[in-house]
Amino acid sequence: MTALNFGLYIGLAVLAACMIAVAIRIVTTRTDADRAVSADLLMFSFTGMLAMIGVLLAGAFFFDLILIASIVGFLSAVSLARALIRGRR
Amino acid sequence: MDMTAFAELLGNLFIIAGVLIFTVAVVGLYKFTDTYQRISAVGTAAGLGISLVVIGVFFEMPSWPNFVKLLIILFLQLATSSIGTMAIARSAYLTGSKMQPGHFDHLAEDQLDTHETVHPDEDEVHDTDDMPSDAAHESTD
Repeated sequence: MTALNFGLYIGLAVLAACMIAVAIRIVTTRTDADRAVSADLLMFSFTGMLAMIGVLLAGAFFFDLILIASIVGFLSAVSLARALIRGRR
Repeated sequence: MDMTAFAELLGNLFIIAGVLIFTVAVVGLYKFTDTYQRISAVGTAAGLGISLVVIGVFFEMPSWPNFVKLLIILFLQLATSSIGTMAIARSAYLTGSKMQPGHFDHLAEDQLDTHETVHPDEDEVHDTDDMPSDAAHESTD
């Protein structure tokens, strides 16, 4: 019995809808801190989407992509926090 | 049902659970009216959701090198999601995001001078003296 990848396709569709909703939230909000936290969630969602697409398309190396994406996501979150207060401590 | 089909089914279930947690985080981002509530919703749900998705992805292609990388990814995600969102929350506080009325501002109480006292009937943050304002402080960069 071959297992269908139904979870992957459902997850991709729902995560794409979530990312569109978060992008709308970045544009329509008023505060800068809301934009920063929405961009953080966008980066995490992108890491999840990279994991799911990596299973479908890439060979044996998709775990390295997820590792690098999570490190870059953390770096972007801390950089956004520092950019929010204009570089001062 | 052999082991690979069962492992793929389990992986799909983990992926669906992780994506549902992301959906809860996005709903929390829309429904909450305060900045700090949104930061709390996103910070906890994003770390948990991405961990479940990565565990589900591991079950699709299980192997020993992937298991080692999975452990590293889980440790990094759970450690860095909280640190990143706490940094954003600290920046939001330092730039003066207002909390909803009816809150307790313990940080403002701690930053008062020693000869001042906190008046219990005021629940607004003091405007000039206590917040580390940008113009007053000289930061050495």
